[in-house]
Order: sequence, then structure tokens, then C-alpha cells
Amino acid sequence: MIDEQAPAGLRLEVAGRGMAGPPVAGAPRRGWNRYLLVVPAVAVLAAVLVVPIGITVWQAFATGGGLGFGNFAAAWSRAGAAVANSLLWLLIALGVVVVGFVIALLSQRVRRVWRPLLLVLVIPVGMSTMVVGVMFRLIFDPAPELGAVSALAAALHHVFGGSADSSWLPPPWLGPGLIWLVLISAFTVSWLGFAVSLFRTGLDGISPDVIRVAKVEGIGWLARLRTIILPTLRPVTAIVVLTLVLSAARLFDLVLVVVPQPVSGRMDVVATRWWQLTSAPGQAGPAAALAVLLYAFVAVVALVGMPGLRHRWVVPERPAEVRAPRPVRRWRRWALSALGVLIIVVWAFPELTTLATAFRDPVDAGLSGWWRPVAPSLESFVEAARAGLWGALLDTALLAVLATGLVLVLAVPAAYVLSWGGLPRWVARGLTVLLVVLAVTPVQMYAAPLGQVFSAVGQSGAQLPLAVVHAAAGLPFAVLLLRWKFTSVPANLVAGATPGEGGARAELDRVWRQARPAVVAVAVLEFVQVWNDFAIGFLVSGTGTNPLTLLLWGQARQFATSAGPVAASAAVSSLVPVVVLLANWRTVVRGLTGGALR
Amino acid sequence: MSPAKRTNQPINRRTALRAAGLLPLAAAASTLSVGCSTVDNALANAFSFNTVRVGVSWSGDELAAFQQVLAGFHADGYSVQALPLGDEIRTALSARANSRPDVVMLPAPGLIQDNVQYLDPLPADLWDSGNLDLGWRDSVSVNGVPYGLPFKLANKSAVWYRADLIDRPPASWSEWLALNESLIRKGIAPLAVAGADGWPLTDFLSNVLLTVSPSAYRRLTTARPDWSDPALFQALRALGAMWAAPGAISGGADRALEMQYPDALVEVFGFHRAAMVVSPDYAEPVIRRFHREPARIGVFPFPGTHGDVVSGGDIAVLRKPAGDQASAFVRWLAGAAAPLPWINGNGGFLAANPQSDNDNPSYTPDARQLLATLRRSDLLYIDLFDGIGSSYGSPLEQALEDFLRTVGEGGPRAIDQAVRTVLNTMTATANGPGG
Repeated sequence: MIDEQAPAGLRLEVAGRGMAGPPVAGAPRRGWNRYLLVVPAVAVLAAVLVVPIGITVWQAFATGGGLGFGNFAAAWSRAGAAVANSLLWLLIALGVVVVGFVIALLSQRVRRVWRPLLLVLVIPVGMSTMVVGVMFRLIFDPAPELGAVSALAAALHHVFGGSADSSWLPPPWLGPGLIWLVLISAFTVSWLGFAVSLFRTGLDGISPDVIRVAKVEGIGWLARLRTIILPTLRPVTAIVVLTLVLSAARLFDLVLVVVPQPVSGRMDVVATRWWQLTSAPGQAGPAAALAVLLYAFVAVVALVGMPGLRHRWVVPERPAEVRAPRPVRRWRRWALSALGVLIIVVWAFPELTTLATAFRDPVDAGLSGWWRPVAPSLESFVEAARAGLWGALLDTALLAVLATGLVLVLAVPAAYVLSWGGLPRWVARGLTVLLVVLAVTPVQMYAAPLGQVFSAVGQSGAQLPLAVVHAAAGLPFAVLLLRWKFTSVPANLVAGATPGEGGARAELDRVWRQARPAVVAVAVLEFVQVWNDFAIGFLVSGTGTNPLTLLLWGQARQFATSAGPVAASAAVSSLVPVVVLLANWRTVVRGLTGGALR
Repeated sequence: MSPAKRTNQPINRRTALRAAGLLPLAAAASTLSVGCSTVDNALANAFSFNTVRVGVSWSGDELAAFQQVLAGFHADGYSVQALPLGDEIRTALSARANSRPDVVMLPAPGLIQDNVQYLDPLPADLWDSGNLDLGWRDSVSVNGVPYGLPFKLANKSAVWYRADLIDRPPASWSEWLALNESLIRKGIAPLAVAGADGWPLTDFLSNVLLTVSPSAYRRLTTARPDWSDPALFQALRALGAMWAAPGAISGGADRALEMQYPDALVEVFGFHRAAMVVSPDYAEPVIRRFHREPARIGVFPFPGTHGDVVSGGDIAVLRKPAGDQASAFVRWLAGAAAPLPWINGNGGFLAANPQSDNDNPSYTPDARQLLATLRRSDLLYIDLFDGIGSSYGSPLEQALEDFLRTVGEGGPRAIDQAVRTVLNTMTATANGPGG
């Protein structure tokens, strides 16, 4: 800065204080009224989650003559098999995590195939489980005229079996045993893209230099994995494992839409069993006990995983763009690319099948598979529209927008106070733990009491109350994610952004730029989740609200003869969430993987 | 009219237990609703539209057809909305249910007795107007007060068959078995069985039991079911003998247990892998839609029923407290014109109001025949799933699914054991904690 009033020849310079040493975040003077910012969030959480959870816990322990474990014993005797199946599903979820990690590792070697591979893997993440279930019902239809897999099996039998026996039928895909194959495929397709994408982002965040140094020092492949890669990926792994374990524990719609009645008893999971118990007379106590067991389990998993999420580490903001050429043998690169293409084809197959079926006339769709050419037709869409597709689309959109708006309005101020509100450390820590526990609450913990209140006040079919429930269900996770991101914004930026200081505006912009991915991630995830929800709407609000997933479930009851309209509804209902998720995928991943990754 | 139609069940242990279990909840809910009545009004205006909600079990084409019916209803100041509840409909009225329809289309008259504490009687003059099928009056009444209005009837004693394969439909059970044998010899599976939905199996058993002993049928559906009745044993054995014959069921038991009700229809008329399917009258539109040459469509009454008919019906009831709007809607539904869009559009609708079907040209000859048999039938035999009470229906479905698997895999030798298993399971259900 030059003082122009100074005499000629003399230049006065005022130097600013150099930014040496760690900046000290000032504690700006703010009144207690900043705590008012959390009041709405706390009120909603208390009314929609905490109080109903309390009621459910009380119901679980209340027996005829007082408190006890009678209901738990009853729950165990009525739902033991379902619990065993759910545990099996947890193992399956962990299997998907491992497969996702391996694919992410391999994907680093195939740069050209990576983009289309990521696209194809991520698309099903944006779809509802109901839609994925419908897609797999389509390709595994037991009639060889309709199901592609059945037709393929029949063709293979024809070629390799030798006999021209026309009465040969494909194995019972929907019978006991093989139904697992259908369900596991559907679950894997739903979630693998999520795992691969997050792991890949984590892997890209590891500096190539570290790996190179390790290589030079002669550290073997396995040892590098154990000592460098896995520890660095801990936060990502924690998120992926947590998400998949939770979704396996909550598995509901997939089982409902895929499993035919005769095997449903053997395929029951905790959520479906709970639902049956709640609609049976006099089983409220055991149902509540089952919900509490489920909740206890997921809460423990979440709390164990939490330290992993908090793990911090230092990596460069932007890993080196220049990569040393990897000495990969040509045949191996070809093999990997071929594997990538294979995955792309297999992954796109259910979606292409669904699309192709949707553009067939309902009668054609009910009588022959997509590989038999017929004139394309929009009649299936017309029929789906007659069944209420557009109304359901509108209702779903309204619900998703309302819930997303509510979550943002409630979560951002709450996360702000939690991060920078000057709360005592132990309070903030305690609140975080509480939020983690609330974030993993299964709908079974609050659906029954809320449903009764809703119906008592005649609001079961109304959209706004359901939107509040959705918002409350998504709120804890949203606050956690935002807080995580907010606290990783450098403290001097925050101090600068505090109103009253000069230039707050610009500083606020910088804070916003840092925190934006998390806000976008919260909004996108909430929107997609509410759009695709079946369980919360169905279990809390009954069939009164009119979401797309419910429409699909109803249509899928007469699957074969409504294959065309079902496929059309599935395609239409997936369009919006898939586009929203894909358009924001990079931001979502950045938001999810926290400040430490790029 | 007959005195033996399904009369009011004495309150049995099952009903009493259920009522006791629900009482605290009902009390809690009613306290809540009283306490919140002001809030309720405010909320209702803010969030809920002025709508009469009609809970139905229909889905797919039938739901679309009912929407067409509703489109014909016009009223000032409110609208009517269909609420597709699927299988949930059986519990839609209880205090625990969370979708509170104002009007429910109950799929079985027995559910009226079970849920009477949640219902308001119909407008007093509705049944006295003389337009309604009086045969149903007793079965929808409790203590002489009518609570239900039959809207759609179903004739479930029908066998749809390929007329190009079968020249002369069988008239008796033994003729039917002989026909099956000759078809198997020709390499055609006689039957497609929809085992993935339980109710086609209970309907099948209902018909067989009706051929064995109509009086046993009535005993089973009017009092607490006695599962040691010899007629049941006989019916299950006969059913087992038909299903266990090698090649009798298209694709075998495994395939049958993956097959939902429309799949079985397509199996016969679309894929041409079987010759017959036991299915209610309302299968007709699906069959006509998905049938392919050279299959020709025919229907014969379930052999051996001698004019008796296993029937079902969708019955409109009013949830307590019934508002004027809901009552007005049900009154409109009772009119002869209400179901016409369904009859003339989708088809597959047998009208409960006899005036709806008088010489309606939309009825196909097949539908007219099924309707005539239904109206001629003296006594009302509600299908077993709905007739034996809601707590037995699902266990019976499951028991019959296992039965189908056992006899399908084990053949004729497995029948006796399989029959005993079904009866033991049902007896255990009756005695068990849920019974």
C-alpha cells in the first residue's frame, strides 16, 4: 500500500502481518440465541423419532404384569428364522463390499473402460429396490418365453443337452434355493456401483509417490495393500460397510416384490417378519421387541464403525496428475478391459431388458420376451398411465421435494451450531454419538406409533406429514455429514466469515465453496432416497399416499400379464432419480468421502 | 333364500382374544382422536382433501376398471378415491391399520362379523328397496342389521379349458380323471395350477369339498372349523389323486409353485402347455386378451358340483363413524348403473345387483352362463379361504402349497401322509396361540 500524501522520494510501505504460525480462531461474541437455530431440528427429531422410539422400546419390554423380556422370547420364537436370514444377508453385504473393492483396484488399470463402467454401475444406485426387484423378476421369469435367463438356459440345454426335448423346463428360479440367486443378484446390482465408486475415489486420493516409494523399497503387493492402501481407505471403507450393512439389515421391498408366496416363509427377513407380526392380532409386543433387537444390532455396528469415520489423514488436495506409466503387460490390460466390458454388458442387461419390455404392447410383453421382434408400442405406458402412473409420479415428486427442502432447512443451521456454535467439546461429542444412533434407526422403531397417530388424526394419506417423517428420518445423517464437512473447513476461514468482521461476504463464499459438496450431497441423497422409498411410506402411512413404488408393487402382483406396464412404470419412475444422481454423482462422492479427499 | 346361509358366528375364543388384544389400542387411538379433534379439523383442512376413500383389494386391470366406475360418480364438494390395499384389505378396518378408508370393499362376508365393532350399519332403506340380491342379505348382516352391500360377485366353480383339445367337458369327478389320463397319454398336461398365489389352491379344494359333501362345507364355514371332518379327508385325498398323477400339472409342482394366477391362464391359452385351469369368472378378460390361436376358449362348471357354486364377493362396508358422503356413495354404488363401466369396458364382472345384468349385451355367453349358475345356486358357499375365517385362510393356503409340493414330488404314494399333514397343521392352527 502506498501513501500518496507522502513527500516525494519517500515511499512508505505498510506491510501486513505475515501469516506465520497457526491462525488462532477467534471466539466471536455471539449470544445464546444462536442455539435457537437447532430448535426446529430438535423438535422434529423428538416428535418423529425419539418419542415413537421410546414408545416402541416401552412396548417391547412391557409384559402383562410389568417389565420383562417375555416379548423378546416370543419374538425369537416367531422370527428366529428371519433373524438367521438377515444375518446371512449381512454376510452377503460384506461380500459385495469385497467385490466392490477388488473391482475398484482393477479399474485403476483400465482407464478407457472406466467411465462407461462407472456410469453403468452407478445407474442402479439411483433406482428404487422395488424397480431393481422388478427388473430381476423380468429377466428371471420362469417361463422360457418371457425370462431371458430361462430362455438362455433352455437354449443351452438344447445345444448341449443333446435331446430335442421340448418339454424341458428351466430350473425353478423362483423356487426355494435358486431364489437366493435372484435376490443376491438384485442386491449386488443395487449396491456394487456405490462401493466401487467410493473405493475408487479413495484409491485415487492415495499419492502415487507413496506407492512408488514402497515399491522401490521392495514392499510386496500384499504388504502394500495391508500397510498403505487399506489404512488410508479406512474412512471410505467405514462408509461403504456401514451403508451396505444397514441396507442389508433393512432389506424389505426387494424380498416383498421378488419372492413368491410359497417360499416367502423361508425367505423372511427381519423387516418382512416384523411387518407380518404388526398386522397379526395381539403381536404388537413381540413386533416391538423384534424392532428393538434390529435397532440394537445396527446401532452397535454404527458405533463400532464411527471411529473409522472420524479418522483423519493428510493427502495432497489434488494428487499428482502425472502418473508414471505402469508396466502392465499388454495381454493383461486386454484381459482387464474385456472384464470391464463384460461387467458393463451384464450390468446394463436388466435395464435394457426393462426398457425393451416397456416399449412392447402389453399383450406382446406378456406372451414373448424382448428378443422376439415386434412393432414397438407405447401401449404399455398408456396402460400404466391408466393405472395411475402420472398421479403417482406427481405425488412422489412433491413428497421428495418437500422432504428435501425440509431436511436442508433443518439440517444446515443445526450442523452449523454443532460445528462452530462453541459447544463444549463433550456436548458436541455426545450429540454426534446420539445423531449416529438416530441416523441408523430402522423404520420399524417408529412406524407403528406414528402410523397410529396419523390414522387417529386422519392424516394417513396426507403428503406433508409424511414428508416431515421422511425429513426426520434423513435429518441425523444430513447433520452428521454437514458437520463433518463444516468442521473440515479451515478455522480461519470460519472466523473470517463471522458476521461483523470486514469482508464477511467473500469469506462466507469461500466457506460455502468448501461446504457446498456436502450440502449438495445431502440434498441429492435425500431426494433420491425419498423418491425411491417404499418402506417408510408404506409402514407409516399405509397405502394412502401414492408413491411410485407402491404402484409398482401393486402392478407386480399379477406379474406376467402386466409385464409391459410394470416395465413402463419402472422405467418412468427411475428416470428422475437416476438423472439427478448421475448429474451430481461426483459432488455426492466428494461430499460423502469428506474433506480429506478431493 | 335359505336359512342355512352363513349365519352369524357365535363369538368364539378367537374373536374374543382378538378383541381383547385390540382393546387397549383402540382405546388409545380413540382418546387420541378425541383429544385432537380440534387439531384434527385444522389439520384436515390444511392437509387432507375432502375425499371419500374406498379401500379395495383390486390391482391391475381390475383396479383400472374400478377407477372407471368411480369416474361415473359425481357429487358436490367431495370426490371419491380408490385406495388399493391388496391383501392388506383384510386388516384395513382394525385399529392397528393405518390407512383408514371410509368405505372398504371387503373380499369376504365373514370379515363383517370379525370387524363389526368398526362398522356402521348401511342406510336402513338400502336393502328394503328390493333391487338387491336378497340371497346375500343374511350373510352381510349381524343380528339382522345389514352392514354390507355386495358389489361384485364371483363364480369360482368354473374350469376354463381349450375347446380345441377337449370335445366334451367332463360332468363328474371320475369323468374328469379319465379325461386327464387321456390328455396325459397324448402328451398334454391337463392342468395349469397357480400355486404361487395361495387362493387358487384353496378355491380348488373348496370345489372338491363341495362335490364331496355340501353339508360338510356348510359346517366348516358356519361354525368353528372341525378339521377332523371325514369329508375334508376325502376331499384332500381326491385332490391329491388328481395332482399326483404324473404329468397332470404343467411343469410339475415346482413350476406350479412359481405360477401366479394370470401365469396359469397364459400357460393354457397363451403358451399352450396345458389344457385346463380352474379359475373364477373374472379370469375371462385376461384369457381373452392373452389367448393365441389355435386355442379356443371354453368354460365348464366344476365337475360334480351339481349346480352348487363356490362363490366370492366384494362387499362394501362403512367404517364407523360413517359420514353422509360415504353413505351417499354406497347408496350410489347399490344402483344398477354404477358397475356398468366395468361390465361394458373391462368385463369379468358379475353384478350383485340383478338389474345391472338384465340382458346386458356386454356379457359374453360364457360370462352369462356363469352368472346364471351363480343366480340359480340355492345356497351360498363362500370359498374356503374367506369362509373359514381370516385366521385360518393363510395357514390353509400355506398348507396346500406344501401339499402340492409333496404330492407333486412324491406321487400317489405320498398322498395319505400329505393329507394328514394338512389336517394336523390346521388342527394345530386352531389350537395354537394364534387361533
